[in-house]
Amino acid sequence: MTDLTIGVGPGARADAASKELVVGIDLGTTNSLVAYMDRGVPQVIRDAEGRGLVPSVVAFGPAGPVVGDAARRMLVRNAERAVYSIKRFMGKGFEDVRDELRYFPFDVTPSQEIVRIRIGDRELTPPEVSALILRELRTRAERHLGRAVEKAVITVPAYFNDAQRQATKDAGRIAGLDVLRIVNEPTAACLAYGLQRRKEGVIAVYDLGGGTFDVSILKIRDGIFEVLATNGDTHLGGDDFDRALVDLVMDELRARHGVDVAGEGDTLQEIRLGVEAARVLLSSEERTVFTLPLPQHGLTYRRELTRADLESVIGPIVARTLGPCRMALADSGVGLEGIDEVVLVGGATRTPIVRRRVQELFGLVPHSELNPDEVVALGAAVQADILAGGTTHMLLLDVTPLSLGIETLGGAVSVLIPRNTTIPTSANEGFTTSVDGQSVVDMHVVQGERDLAKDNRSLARFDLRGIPPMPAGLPRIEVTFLIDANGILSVAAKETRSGTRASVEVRPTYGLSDAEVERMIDESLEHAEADVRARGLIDARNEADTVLRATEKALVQGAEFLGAEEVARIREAVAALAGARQGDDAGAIREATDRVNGETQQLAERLMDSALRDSLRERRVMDVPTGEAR
Amino acid sequence: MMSERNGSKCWGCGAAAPAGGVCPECGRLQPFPAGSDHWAVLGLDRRLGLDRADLERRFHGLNRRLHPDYFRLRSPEEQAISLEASAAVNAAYRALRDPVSRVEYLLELEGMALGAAGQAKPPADLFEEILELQEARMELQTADPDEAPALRARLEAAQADLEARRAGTETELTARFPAWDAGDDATRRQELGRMRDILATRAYLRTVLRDLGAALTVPSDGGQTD
Repeated sequence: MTDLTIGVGPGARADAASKELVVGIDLGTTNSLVAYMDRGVPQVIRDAEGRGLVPSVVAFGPAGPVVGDAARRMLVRNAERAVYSIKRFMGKGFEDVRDELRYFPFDVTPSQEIVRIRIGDRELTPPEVSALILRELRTRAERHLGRAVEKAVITVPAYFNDAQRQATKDAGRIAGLDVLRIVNEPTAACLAYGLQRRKEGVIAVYDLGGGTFDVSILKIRDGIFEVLATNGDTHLGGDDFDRALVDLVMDELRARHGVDVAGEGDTLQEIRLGVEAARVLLSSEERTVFTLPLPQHGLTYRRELTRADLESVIGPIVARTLGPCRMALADSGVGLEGIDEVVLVGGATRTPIVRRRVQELFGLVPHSELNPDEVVALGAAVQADILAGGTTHMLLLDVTPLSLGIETLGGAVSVLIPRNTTIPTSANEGFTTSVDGQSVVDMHVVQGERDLAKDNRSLARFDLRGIPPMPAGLPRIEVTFLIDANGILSVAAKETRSGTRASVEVRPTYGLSDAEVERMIDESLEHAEADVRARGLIDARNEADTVLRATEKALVQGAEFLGAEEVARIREAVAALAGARQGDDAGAIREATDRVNGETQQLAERLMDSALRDSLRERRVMDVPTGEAR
Repeated sequence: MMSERNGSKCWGCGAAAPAGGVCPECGRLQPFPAGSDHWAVLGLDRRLGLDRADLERRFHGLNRRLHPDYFRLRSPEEQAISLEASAAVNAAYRALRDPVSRVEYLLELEGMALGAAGQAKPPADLFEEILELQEARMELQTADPDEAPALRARLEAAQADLEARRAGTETELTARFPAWDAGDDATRRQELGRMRDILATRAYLRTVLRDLGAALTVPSDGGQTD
């Protein structure tokens, strides 16, 4: 009998690794956040104002992309240049998202392939936009921790398919992050809860976020978090509540006022943000008033919204989460009576009707002690610490959410790896040729639960090449499909009769090739340079303005110390700076600024000793390089 | 079955080391020997009667030892071994924890696997009843609104019966486990044949139930055929 005592994993690992820094990132539809493990306790990294959430909005302004609150403020004024809810587009083709594009003010280029968003003359794929958000989080973490952050664990909805996971990993790479693990959001949340409470049992995690819904059922025992089943809908979340409310407002505007605002991007944004605020308020209040000034149509739309109104609008959407819950319960094999606790995750679970429905379904009062907006990032930090060799008493055993299969003759699917199989997992499948001397076999890999390949998600087409020439049906090609702990698929093939290793060429259906990702990494660096240049110019101009103002002030206040010649030299330097300030050359502006500083050096020293020193000290302080963007 | 009995050597330093475990000399993770079956991977003898809780303990314990999360900082060779070994443990647990898939796996090892649906076999005692049901199912698709409820009720009652019957096949199956576990080669072959028949019946019932389920969920306005 083999020894099966539970150990703490291979030794020596913790010492060497304990210094490694891996952050946990929740890359959300609406908000994102970054956390890290601080001496065994996961912490969200906050800005100076104490805010942990970074709105997942990227706005492309004149000084390059801005992310977060600043970008969110641009949503209304600059709707077509501000990208939000990009997560809904990850790993998708244009055709997949066509129907919901009317809700988005930004342009999406029609194509047969992956979604591309057009901002001015620039086209960006969803991983590139997500990379900008990740870069912002990375910078935030680096500032807070005072050291480089190069490794991360990123969470995704449990029900994300292979293409969506891959797209998330690509986004990390483009942002310069080594993505050590893609973790499922509900599982991450459970890790955070598990760490805090150390309770055992079977837990259902109901995770309704901005754009996605997941339900996972986990069994916790001896520090092992085993996912029994997961289900969900990657296109269902708080966004859909808002859309239903936007539709309500637009319908009423048409019916009551004969006004159609469908083509007005900025107005649409204003409505969307307005109903979102109203919806959030209705979680604690019974009623609110939604007001929308529409000066361009000569009217102000006002509407009282009660919680009952809200619930009648979003009730059907909440009901759509119950089917996946029942499926997960059935697949978990534990049944309703086997569930010990229900945990709520995601901002949308603050909505009272969601809590009621969950409680009715499970017959248990759901928990939400940990902040539902932050718990996923905290769990990601825990998993990051496990991978960094810090936490050794916990281990996550997750599952693949969707069945993986290949298309067979006639368009049916042959399932190789059923849904809810613990990962990592692998499956072998034998193939042969149908024509004498055939050297290439192609296959189509799909993910999903439907019987026909065309109804499932197409992941990739593979060509097996280099099959030695043999009569039809004789080659035995063994193909191994491996789903790793990230839930991401890889494929290897071997011709077993001859021992030839057939090569596998992958053509992702809605993804980026390695070459494309490499190119995007390069481009993002180029753009980063362009962005830095633009920001550098703005900084140089600001600094020039400050110096010009301070110099004028000093010339007046220090007149008694100055000779005519000195005044003339200063005036000349000031005129040169004012000229350079009009141009676009940040270097020239800095040079001219330095010259003014040089010419006023003596004046400054004299003023230092006088009662007037403050006026120049102000300028001296501004002289100190800020370090950033130079 | 486990390789320490076969005296396997560490791939790194050559010391005696357990498969799926860590070399006592150099600490390197050892792969399972090629061709290990699911029982061997979990450290078990080939038996059908298994304790579910014991299986779970082994599944968790082995993953604690060889899950890829614990080998990220090790050499690429060890990472690959960990990935493969972890996948093998997961597959073994999945196949063995459920009595039906356990028997299916054993049949596969013995070269007696049930093929595609072609080999599904109707239970002799239910053959007539199932034929009638098929007729009723077709009728439901074209039934008048006033006939439909009665037909539907009859089909639903049959559905419940057949579901119970299908669930019963698992009990029939597990009832044969002690005989297989204790038997000699001849007994085992005989028992395996019986279990194979039970699975064939189960597969057949499953198809009938799927068709019934489809007929009962589709509104009876026709057009839907299997």
